[in-house]
Amino acid sequence: MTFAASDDFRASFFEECDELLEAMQDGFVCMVDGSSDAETIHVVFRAVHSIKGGAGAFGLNDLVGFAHEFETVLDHVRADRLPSTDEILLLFQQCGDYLTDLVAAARENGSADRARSEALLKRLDELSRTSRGPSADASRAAPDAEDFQPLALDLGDLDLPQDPPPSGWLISVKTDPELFTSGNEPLILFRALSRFGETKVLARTDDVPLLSACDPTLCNITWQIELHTETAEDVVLDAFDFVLDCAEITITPLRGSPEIGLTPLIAEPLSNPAMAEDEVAHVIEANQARSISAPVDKPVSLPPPATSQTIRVDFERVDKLINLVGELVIKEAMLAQAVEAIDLPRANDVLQELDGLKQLAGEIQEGVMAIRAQPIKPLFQRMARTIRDAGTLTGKTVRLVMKGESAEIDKTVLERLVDPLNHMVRNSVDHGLEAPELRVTAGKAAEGSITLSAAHRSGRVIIEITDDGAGIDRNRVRQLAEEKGMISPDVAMTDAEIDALLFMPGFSSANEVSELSGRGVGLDVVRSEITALGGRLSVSSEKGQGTTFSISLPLTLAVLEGMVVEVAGQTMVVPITSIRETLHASAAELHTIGADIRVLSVRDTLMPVADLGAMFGFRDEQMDLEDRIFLLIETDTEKSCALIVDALQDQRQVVIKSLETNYCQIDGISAATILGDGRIALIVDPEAIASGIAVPNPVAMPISAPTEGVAHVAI
Amino acid sequence: MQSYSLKEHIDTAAVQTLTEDLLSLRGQDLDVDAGETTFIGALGLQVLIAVFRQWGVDGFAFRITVFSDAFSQAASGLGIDPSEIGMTAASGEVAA
Repeated sequence: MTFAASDDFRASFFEECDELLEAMQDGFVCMVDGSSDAETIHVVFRAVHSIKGGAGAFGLNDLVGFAHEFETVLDHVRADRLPSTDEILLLFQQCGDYLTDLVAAARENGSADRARSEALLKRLDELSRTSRGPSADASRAAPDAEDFQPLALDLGDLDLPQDPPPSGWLISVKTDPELFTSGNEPLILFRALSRFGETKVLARTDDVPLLSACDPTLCNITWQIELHTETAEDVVLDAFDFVLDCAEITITPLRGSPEIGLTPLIAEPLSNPAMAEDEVAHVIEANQARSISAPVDKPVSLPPPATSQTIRVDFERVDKLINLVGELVIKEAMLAQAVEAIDLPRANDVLQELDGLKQLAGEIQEGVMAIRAQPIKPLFQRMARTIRDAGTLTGKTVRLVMKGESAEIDKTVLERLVDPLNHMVRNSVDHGLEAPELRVTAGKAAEGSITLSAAHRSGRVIIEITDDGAGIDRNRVRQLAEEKGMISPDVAMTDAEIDALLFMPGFSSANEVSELSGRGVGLDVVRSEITALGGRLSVSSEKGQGTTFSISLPLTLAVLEGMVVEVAGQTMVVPITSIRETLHASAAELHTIGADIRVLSVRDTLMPVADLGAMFGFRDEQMDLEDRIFLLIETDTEKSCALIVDALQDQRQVVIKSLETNYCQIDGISAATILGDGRIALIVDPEAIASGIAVPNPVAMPISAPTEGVAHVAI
Repeated sequence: MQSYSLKEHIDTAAVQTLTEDLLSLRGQDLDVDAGETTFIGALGLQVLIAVFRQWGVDGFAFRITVFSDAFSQAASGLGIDPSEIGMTAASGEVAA
């Protein structure tokens, strides 16, 4: 085995771990919200067991040791030797979190928090000791990496000492009456096996008596099941874990050709509708030694097979492909512009083919973007842990509800959402939800609820964090803002304006800085991070009902919908999301404040005016604003300004090229793009420009007389 | 020809009644309609095997003339051959 192969398998193992941890967390969510069934704990157990098995193959002994103790207690619960109490469930979730830490540490060749490990192991051990009987897991001995077989991974190329793998398992099943009285059913058990591979079921019905002698509570049928799978024996046996004490289950390796060797059952109606008595007798005789095989039908409710139709691709390759497709789109635009210059007749084939090319390029771009799109679910699952930890620290019981977690978003956006979302859910637990006793007093359940939802709307993804707490105490917020000198006591403010104070730098609504949220990171930083992603953050709240923070994000950071404008002979792009409206200069109300500060009066609001051309050194400051066009910009932080441009060219999607990577960072510019004519156009950063312009105080500044009326053009 | 309709859900709890019902119908040809059956477990199918054999010994015909997908899938899932329980299609129809 080469090192490269080893690395590949290791990487593959950790990717499997991510999926298994996700399945585990899903199981916990079901168990918490009460929607779990008998299979749920089984899924969780299997996930932990599989991680243990794979970790053993790579000598990750910390991981193996912890997973072993964890699965032992999981096994006690699934075998009903321990009750599934809220306390145990919380411990399971904490163990799940720590297992996630261990996997992350193993991936980075680091180490996890040993003190935490010891505390959790101690509690697991205590639970094991209080369980009502011996573990069904025969490997209750001390954790030993060699005990475990890697699961779900094809380790065929690894030079690990192992026997030639069997082609499957032959399972014999004989049931006791208790199996049925305890609510179990062979049919369900056998169907559960089909997730491991192809099954053939043989029923031995020789001992079934005539009806007159039949005790309907005794099952006289025995079964042999041929299971074709690479799944390890203990995992297969896990499917029978609930019935091991009320059935005889034997499992032997299946090697080479099938051992039952039966033709598949065709579950179709027989052709002979009415059998004569002698035929019936014949059938009975024939039935005495009949052996049947049957493909087990997969019920809809069972989870899908472990193997999914996916391939793993290096992220860099996808990035490169996205860049190339961006180039393709640019080339297509250049070609279109070149053809346009030729001035071909409208019905010319070249124009028609060019349209086809444009559509194709657009579809390719959309398809490639979809490759990088990932479901938001793992991010939400990470928040489950944050909420749990925050709940523990604040003494609040919090239930997490997830909605729309299958919505997809660009991987790069997703990664950069972790910190802001973490902060916001911590904030919701700490400041949003009331203490349990206050909730009860207010007539609410002691358990608080935080809902994370995601949905696609108008080409953006909307993420909402909703709590059912007391809502924003606006009187308190206003009072704090006044105390901090952020607002004047005599300024009238709407509810929305007061809510917006929460996002001001240095604002904290907590009476005291708490251990949890008071970490020097305010909602202003969260808003900056969201804004840097091209997103918008807003809040709505109803007293006594709760608060909702809403994040609106672009689906990708690779393309942008922009207004292409001309400024002093240069072409620039202004993000369309920040443009509120356009005005024509000749119809605008312009004022001069002081010596050279110019403002635009729009509906009783003064907006500072900035000449993009002068700002970036394309020309001197324009004093003659006749025939100029104003773009009214409003940023997510509610800063506004009016940008002077010479002409509007087009509204279109542009491919974003990083300036920092290819040149250097420029204040007021977020990125660049390449236009159809091959020229580079700078993409304006409205937030930076609006922040950089001094907003005059309308009360203190003398205002010159208005010039003309205002004509608004909505876009 | 006597006929009998199987209940929708034949689990362990329903098997005793099924047995008694069918015992009361001995001594005559019997067509069974399993078209409405959404679930039948191992014990239920065992009763039908026992019935099929009983009817054969008694010298009468026993057929399951109509059956749902769920019924036939349960039989195949438990490795029971259709001929062991007289599954046929006298009317040529199979209930969905």
